[in-house]
Amino acid sequence: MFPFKQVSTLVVLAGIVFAPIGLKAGELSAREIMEKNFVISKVQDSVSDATFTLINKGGQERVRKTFGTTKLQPNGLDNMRMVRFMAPPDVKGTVTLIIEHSDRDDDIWVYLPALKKVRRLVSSNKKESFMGTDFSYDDVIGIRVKEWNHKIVKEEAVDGQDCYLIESTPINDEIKNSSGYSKRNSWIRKDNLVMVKGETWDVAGQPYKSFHFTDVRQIDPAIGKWQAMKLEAENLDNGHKTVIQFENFKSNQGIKEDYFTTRYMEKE
Amino acid sequence: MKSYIEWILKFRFLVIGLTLLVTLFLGIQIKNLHIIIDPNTNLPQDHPYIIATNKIESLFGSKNVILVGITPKEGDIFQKPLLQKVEEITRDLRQTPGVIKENVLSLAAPKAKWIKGTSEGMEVKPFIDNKIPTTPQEMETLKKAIRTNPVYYNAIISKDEKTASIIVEIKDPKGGYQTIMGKIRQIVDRQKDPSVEIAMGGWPVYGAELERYSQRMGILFPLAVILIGLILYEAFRTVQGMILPLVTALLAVVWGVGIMGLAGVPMDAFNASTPILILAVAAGHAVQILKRYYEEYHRIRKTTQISPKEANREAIVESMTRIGLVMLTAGSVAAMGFFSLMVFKMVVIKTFGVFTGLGILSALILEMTFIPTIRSLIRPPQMGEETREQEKRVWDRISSTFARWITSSSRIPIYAGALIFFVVAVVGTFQVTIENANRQYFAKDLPFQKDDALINDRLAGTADLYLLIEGKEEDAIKNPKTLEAMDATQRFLEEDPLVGKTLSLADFLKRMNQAMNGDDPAYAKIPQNRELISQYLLLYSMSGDPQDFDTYVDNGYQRADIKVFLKTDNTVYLQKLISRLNPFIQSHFGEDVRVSVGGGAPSGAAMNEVIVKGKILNVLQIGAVIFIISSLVFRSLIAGVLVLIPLSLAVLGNFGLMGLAGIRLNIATSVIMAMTVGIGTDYAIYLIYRIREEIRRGQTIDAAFQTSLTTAGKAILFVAIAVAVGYGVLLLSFGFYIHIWFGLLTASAMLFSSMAALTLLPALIYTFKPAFVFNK
Repeated sequence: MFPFKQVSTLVVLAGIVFAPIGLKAGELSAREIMEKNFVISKVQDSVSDATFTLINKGGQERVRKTFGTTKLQPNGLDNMRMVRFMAPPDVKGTVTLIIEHSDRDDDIWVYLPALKKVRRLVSSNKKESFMGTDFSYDDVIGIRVKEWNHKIVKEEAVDGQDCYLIESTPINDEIKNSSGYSKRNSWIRKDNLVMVKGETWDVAGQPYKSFHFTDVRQIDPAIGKWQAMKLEAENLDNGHKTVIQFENFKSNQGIKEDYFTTRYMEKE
Repeated sequence: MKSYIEWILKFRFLVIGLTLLVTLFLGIQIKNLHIIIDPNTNLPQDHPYIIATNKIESLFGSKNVILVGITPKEGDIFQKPLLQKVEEITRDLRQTPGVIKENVLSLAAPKAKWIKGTSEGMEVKPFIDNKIPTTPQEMETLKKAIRTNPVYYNAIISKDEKTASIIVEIKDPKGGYQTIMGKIRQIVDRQKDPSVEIAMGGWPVYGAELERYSQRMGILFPLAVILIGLILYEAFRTVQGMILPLVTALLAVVWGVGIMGLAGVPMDAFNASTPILILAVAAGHAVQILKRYYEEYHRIRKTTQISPKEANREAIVESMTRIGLVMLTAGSVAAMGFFSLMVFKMVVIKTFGVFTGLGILSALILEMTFIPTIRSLIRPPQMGEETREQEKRVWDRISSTFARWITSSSRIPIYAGALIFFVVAVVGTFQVTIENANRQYFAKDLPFQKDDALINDRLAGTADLYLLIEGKEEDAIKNPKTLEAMDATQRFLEEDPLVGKTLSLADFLKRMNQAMNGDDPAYAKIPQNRELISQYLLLYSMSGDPQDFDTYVDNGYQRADIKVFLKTDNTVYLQKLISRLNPFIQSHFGEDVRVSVGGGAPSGAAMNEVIVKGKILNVLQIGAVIFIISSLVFRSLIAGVLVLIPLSLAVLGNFGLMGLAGIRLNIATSVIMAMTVGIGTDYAIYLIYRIREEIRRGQTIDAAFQTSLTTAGKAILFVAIAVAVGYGVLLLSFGFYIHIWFGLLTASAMLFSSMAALTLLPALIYTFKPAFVFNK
């Protein structure tokens, strides 16, 4: 029973920023805000339980429960994540291992208990679905700040919190096509630089997805880390929604590196 | 009646004023009228196919499927310019309001995924991922991708790889198909150039064309008015004779259509012809009264010394007194015939019945109020008009000839003729095929018909059928036995030459199984383990999109569908296919799984099935209504039977004609049958009343028949010819068979029923001398 990978996910999704203390957010440029949001959003390691609720246009739900662990790689940028499906019974024991790479495609392995084999999932696309949800890998891992142009559009309150609304556009078509987004709007809280709301547009310029992150908690008061515990994404194309709810979120559990290997996937 | 008419004439200005006000009010309502084809108004909602169709639609998407096929003039589809066109059409369609964005399927649609087997597992990605292949290597990769995913053959690419296709689903368009199809056509036409051939097919294309062709009525209707006017002028040789029946008819149409607008009931392909029908019927009644008015006017002028002006007023009162009740009777019987169409489940037929009934009632009201008051205001017939009206012409020769036959020593030739007609009609009736297919509504050489044929030839087919597979609880679809049964059903269906393609979740699971086993063809089968199936699906979703299978299976994996693309929506073919399919389904699926048939093509079949039953019921019902009312009016059951004779022969004659001419019994032609019965009634009733009147007046029997046939009988000829010609205008609607059938079958119904009313009916009365006619 282990700590978890979802943490990172959360961290990134929520755009948690380290130690906003001492920073006068008002003095930050759009790019600086996004960099803080991205770069300082990694925890050393984490464990958590997560419930994925997938809701289709008709309102029908499909619920999956997972247990996740993350650990930051030595470069301090990329995470290793392991997600173990706990329910429903027919997918119980399915495990996913993701080794992120900033400079190339991520490595993804999947262990299917019915097949009793670990398979490699080739991921050539950051815009693909993350774990079968409406979030893409990009939505989860975060966009590389330098690949986008950012500007502060205005300041606006979301859920009663003052936020910057930052508009980001890809620097070239390659970035646009690989991310699947021609524009993204991020609402970042002024006080802790956590992202609480997002909107994206597809490559044809049509509204594509919307995000809403709530229940923002300080997960590590010592170093001032924050995390939204409830993450919602909606695909505006087809009305499909995903809600990820984190529970028992813990950081700094001292998780060993060799836990994140394919050998460990088959173990309970 | 007499005091009523005198009262009306006394308050004539009030009557005219009120009529004009009502007409103005209802005329304004016409602007609220739309012409649309809403398929749902046609569908019998409690039919099993329709129940399944509605369920499939709410679970998996729409049933309005359009196929766009793009074929390069040279080479296969693996060329950059062609793929570019596919991509642009796909992109533009996805941005068109009314198109179900996520259901657009093509090589360039994000939903169409390439399941790739690798040495280490599988990879899922869109075929064209925002980047059209340019280098030969990239093109080879795409080719390989498609070839290893044969599930897409005949769906988004033809088997010969020479046609690429875009499958589009649209939401039910509330305002008709023309708007949305106009937008789609614009997107498609933008990509047309000499290097490619682009064709479109599917029900929405037909829906839009049905609407467009129905609008021809805007030209055909004025033409009908002109023709009826001309015939009436030929009949009466007076301007009043030409104008007044048309005034009644047009006002009745305005009232009828105005009430439709007021009630917010849209016009559709079938109701668009309602104005012509109301016009013809209304003119028919007006002619009977006008004819009688002239008759009385001449009589009064000949037998008295009163001034033309007084004679005019006297003739109005006299003709209305004599014939007003007959008109009310005949008109009510017809109106009730139409109102009885309300028992139909199909709203289109209901609407038709209600509004034609209302139109006829409007005509009756106008003839009982407005027309007599107007007639009293215009100057009485002048000498010249009078003589011209009295001239003996072809109409008189025909009606006198009939009278001579009837009163001659033997009526055997009439009975023999009727018998031959009967036998031929029965023989023809047995050859009537109950069959409905969209493409039978239009001429084959129309561009969209050719397109449809092209698409059906090259791709999966433009007609759709769905099988809905329902388990008892969640995840029932993940049972390997169920998936195998689905797969077997698909292979069974695909053996049929008119089944172009089948698609289901089973296809994708087989492909995943193969990809996960190093692309070994031996693994192109359903995995034998429920957990493995679940885990494959989860694995797929990790690189696909969570909604990729939304059109194949519901969220809880309790219900799935099999999409079947057919090359025809012909109902006869469908019924055969479904009856072969049912035993197969029963022997392959477990008892805990329910399989039902739905989709666009079965909906059409359901509609047809209901029409057959409804039609027989309808004809019987109208017959019964007419029998009862006629029996009551004449206080004689024999009278009821006699009134039915011309009607029965008209209906039978029309069925016979359809059988011999190869015209199918479908929703359009079935409406005509009810119409026929409603109109033909007038003839019999007018004639029987006149014979009775003449006998009661003390005429000899022969003279009574002679007079009746050359007065009421002659008016019947006018009416029948006017209606036949009015409807005959529809024959000019080239390429649109619905109009042509209406024109042809209405004309023939008029001919059959008027001939029966002018020959067989009086002959029978003459032979059997029933008491209700002969007792004083």
